Amino acid sequence: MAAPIATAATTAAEYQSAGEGKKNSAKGVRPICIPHIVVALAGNPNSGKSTVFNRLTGLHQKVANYPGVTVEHKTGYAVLSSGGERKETTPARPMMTADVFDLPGAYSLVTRSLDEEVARDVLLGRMPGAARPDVIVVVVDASSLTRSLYLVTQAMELGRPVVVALNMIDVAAATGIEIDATALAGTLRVPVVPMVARKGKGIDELRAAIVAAERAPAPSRLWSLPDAVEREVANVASWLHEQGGVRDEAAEGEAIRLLLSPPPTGGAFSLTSAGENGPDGADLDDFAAAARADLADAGVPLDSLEADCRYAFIARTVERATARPRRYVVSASDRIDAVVTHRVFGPLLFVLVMAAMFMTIFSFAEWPVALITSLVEWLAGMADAAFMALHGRAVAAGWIAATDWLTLKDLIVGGVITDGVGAVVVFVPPIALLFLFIGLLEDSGYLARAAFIVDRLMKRVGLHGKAFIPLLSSFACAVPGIMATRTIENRRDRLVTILIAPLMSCSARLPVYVMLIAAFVPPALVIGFLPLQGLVFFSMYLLGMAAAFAAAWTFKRTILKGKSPPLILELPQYKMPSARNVAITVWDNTLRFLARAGTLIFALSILIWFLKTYPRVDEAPYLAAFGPEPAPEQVETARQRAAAAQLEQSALGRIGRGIEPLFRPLGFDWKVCVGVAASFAAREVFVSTMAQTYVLPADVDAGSVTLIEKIRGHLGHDRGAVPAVTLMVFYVLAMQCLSTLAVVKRETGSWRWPAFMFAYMSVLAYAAAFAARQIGLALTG
Amino acid sequence: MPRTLDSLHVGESCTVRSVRGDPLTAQRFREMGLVAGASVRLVRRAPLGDPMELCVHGYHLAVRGDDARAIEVDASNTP
Repeated sequence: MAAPIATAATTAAEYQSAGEGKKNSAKGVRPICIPHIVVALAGNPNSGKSTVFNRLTGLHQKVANYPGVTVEHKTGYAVLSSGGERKETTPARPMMTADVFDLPGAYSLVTRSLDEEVARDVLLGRMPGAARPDVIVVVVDASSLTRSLYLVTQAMELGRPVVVALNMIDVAAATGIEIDATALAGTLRVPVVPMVARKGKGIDELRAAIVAAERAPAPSRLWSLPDAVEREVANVASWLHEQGGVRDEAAEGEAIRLLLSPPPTGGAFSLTSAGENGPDGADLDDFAAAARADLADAGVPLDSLEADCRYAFIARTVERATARPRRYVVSASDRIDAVVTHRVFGPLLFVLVMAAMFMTIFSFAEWPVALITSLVEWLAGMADAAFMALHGRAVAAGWIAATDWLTLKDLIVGGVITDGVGAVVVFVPPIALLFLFIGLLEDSGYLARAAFIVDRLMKRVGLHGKAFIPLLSSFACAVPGIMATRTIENRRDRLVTILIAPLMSCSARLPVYVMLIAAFVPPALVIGFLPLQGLVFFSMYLLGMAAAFAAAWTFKRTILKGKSPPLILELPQYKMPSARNVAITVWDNTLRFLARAGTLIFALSILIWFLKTYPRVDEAPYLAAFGPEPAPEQVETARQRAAAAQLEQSALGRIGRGIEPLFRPLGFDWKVCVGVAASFAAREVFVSTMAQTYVLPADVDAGSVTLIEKIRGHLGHDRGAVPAVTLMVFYVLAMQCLSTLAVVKRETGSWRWPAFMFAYMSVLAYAAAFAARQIGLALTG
Repeated sequence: MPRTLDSLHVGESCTVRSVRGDPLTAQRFREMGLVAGASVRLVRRAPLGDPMELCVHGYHLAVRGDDARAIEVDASNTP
C-alpha cells in the first residue's frame, strides 16, 4: 500500500514544481497524475475528531489493520481540492486527493498503550505498511483549548507540517470563550482553522489549509527547557541522527521523549521495531538512561519538567489568543449535570436510560427480525420453486443426476439460505439498535456520565467505569463488546473485561430464555402484581451480571493481579447528537459485526446443517405407516417423525448421544445435548434444533401441537420448572459461541485466552447448573 | 502537612503545588493539565461519593479520590 502512495506523492511534487516554472501558462498544464497525499488526523478523545474525519471522507472510509498488530484504524479517501480552471475570481487549482488516517484519540503522544504506540509510529512513518503522513491535522476542542494544545505542541515535534482544526468554537462561545484564531496561528506559527465540524462549518477551509500546508516546512519547537536539559536534548538528537533510523526533523522530539518521558518497561522500540537500519533499542535505552542520570544528579526535576514547560508555553499562548469571562460562567452543560449526576436523580436516570435501552432493543428488534425471517423464508421458497422448475430440464439435459439435483437444492435452500443466512440476519436488528443507542449516548456526552456514576461500583471488582461500555455492548453481542475494550489502556484490565464480557446475556440467548420460560414458568403473579415469568427472565440477566462481577473480582486477585492505572475520565460538554455521526456509527459497527462474526456464524451454520442432514433418512417408510392414502395431517405427522429420526441418526445426533453421559448429572438427555452442540454457531439455533427433535410419541393431531407443548411434554412437566431453569442457568454461563472465541483470539493474539475463557466458563456453567438442579429437586421434593 | 486534592469541599478551589506518587500516574495527571500552579475547582462528587469531578483549565475531569491524594494543593485565596 505504501508504494503507490509514495509514487503518487512524488508525482505530485514533480507536477507542482513543473507547474511553478510556467505559472503564467497554467492553462496549458494538465495533470498527468492527480496529486495524492497522506493526511493523519490526531486529537484528544471528544475533540470531534471522528466528526471531522466523517466530514472529510464521507462514506469513503474503511477499517484497516496494520500487519502484525491488532490495533485497527480507519482510513478514508478525501478530495481536498476538486480542481478547476482559472476564473475571474478564483485562481486555477490543481486537483488533490488524500488518504486520511484517523488515529486513536489520545491526550498525549507519550506512548503507554498499544494504541498510542501505533499512533506515534504512524506519525513518524515507522509503521510498516503505512506511508508517512505529509500533513498532520490536530483536531482541537476549542472549549478546552489549554489541555488540547498539549497534544499540538507534541505533534509539532514530529517533523511534519501541522494544521490545527479549532473545532467546536460554538460550544466555546456558549461558555463565553472567544478565541482569536489569527492570534493563535501567529503564536504557534501553524495554520489554525476555526470550525464547527458538526454543522460542516470550516471543512472547506480545512481542506484548503491542508493543501497549502503540504508544501510548508515542518514547524519548529517554540517552548524551551532549562539550558542544561537543552544541551542533553541536542546530544541525544545528534546521537540519534548518527545512528540513523530517526528522521532528522523528528530527532529532537524523539530525544525529548527519551529523556523526559521514557517508556515504562524500557525498550523504546519494544512494540514495533524502528526498521532494519534503526538504532538498537538496548543501545538507545542505555544512552538515554546515562543522560537522564546526569541530569538527575544535577538536580533537574525530570519527571515534571516536560509537562511544566509545555504548559507554561501553552498558558502564555492561550492568554494571548483568548478572551474569557471574568467570572465562571455556569454553562448549559453544568445545569444538565446538576440533574444527571445528582445524588438521587443521577442513578435513577441511569437505571431509566438503561431500562429504556433494553426494552427498546428487545421489543423494537422483534418486528424487523420477524420481517427479515419471513423474507428469508420467502427467498428459500423462491429458490425451492426455481430448483423444482428447472429440475426436469437439468436432468433431461443430462447435466446432473436427479438425486444430486435434489441434494443441491437441499443444500442451497436448507443449508445456505434458511440456516446460514437466517442465522446471521436475525442478529442485525438488535445490533444496529444497540449501536444506535450507544451512538446517541456517546455523541451527546451521556456515556461519560454513565461511566462516572458506575465507577464506584466497578472499582469494587477492580475495574474502571470505562469498562462499563464494552460490558453494555455485550448485552447485544459479545463480539462488538470485546472489540470495544480497546479503549481500556491497561492490558490486565482489558483482559479481565474481555474475559467477563460473554457472561452478559447476549441477544442470541434471548430466544432460548423466551422459549423455556414460556414452556415452564406459569404466568402467575408474585405478591399480587409482579409477573413471575418476567421475574425469572430478569433474574437470568442478573445471574450473568453477578457471575461476571464475581469472575472479575477473582481474576483481579489471582491471574491478572496488578494495580490499575488511575481513572482519568473527561466529562465533555453535552451536545446535540449529530444524525450523521450516529448513522455512521451504526453502519460501521453493523458491517464490522457481519464481517467478524457473521461470516463465521454463516459458515458454521452450514456445517451444522451438514452434520444434522447426513447420513440421510428416507421419509417413505414413515409415510407408508399410514397406509396407501394418508390424510394431510398424517403426512405432516409422518414428516415430523422422519425429521426427528433424521436428526437422531445424523452425525449431530451421534455427537449429542456421545456427549450425553457428560451432561446426565444436569438432567440433559441426548436431544438437549444436540441443541447444546448446535448452539456453537449461534445460541438461538437451540430453539430450531429443539423444534426438529421433539415429536410427541402419541398420535396427536400434529397441527395443533406447538413447539412449547412438545418441549414441555419431553422435558417432563412433572418436575415443574427445574429442567428449564437448569438449562437456562447453563445457557447464561456457558461459552457456546465460536465467534466470540475467534474475536478473543484476534484481540489477544493467541489461543491461550480463548482456551482459558472456554475452560472457566464451562466449569462455571456446569457447576452452577448442577447446583441449580439439586436445589430445584430438593425444593420440589 | 500540606493539603491534598481529595480533601477539597464541593465548590472549593485550590492551586496545584505538586503531583507525587507513582511516576506514571503523576505523568498522566500532568499531561491532563494538573501541573504546579494550575487552578482546580471541585465541581461535585459522583452519587456514590467517588470519583470527583474537577474543573481545570476550563474543562471537566473525573478522578478517583484515592488517586487525588497524590496531588498536593494550596488553598486558593479567591473569595
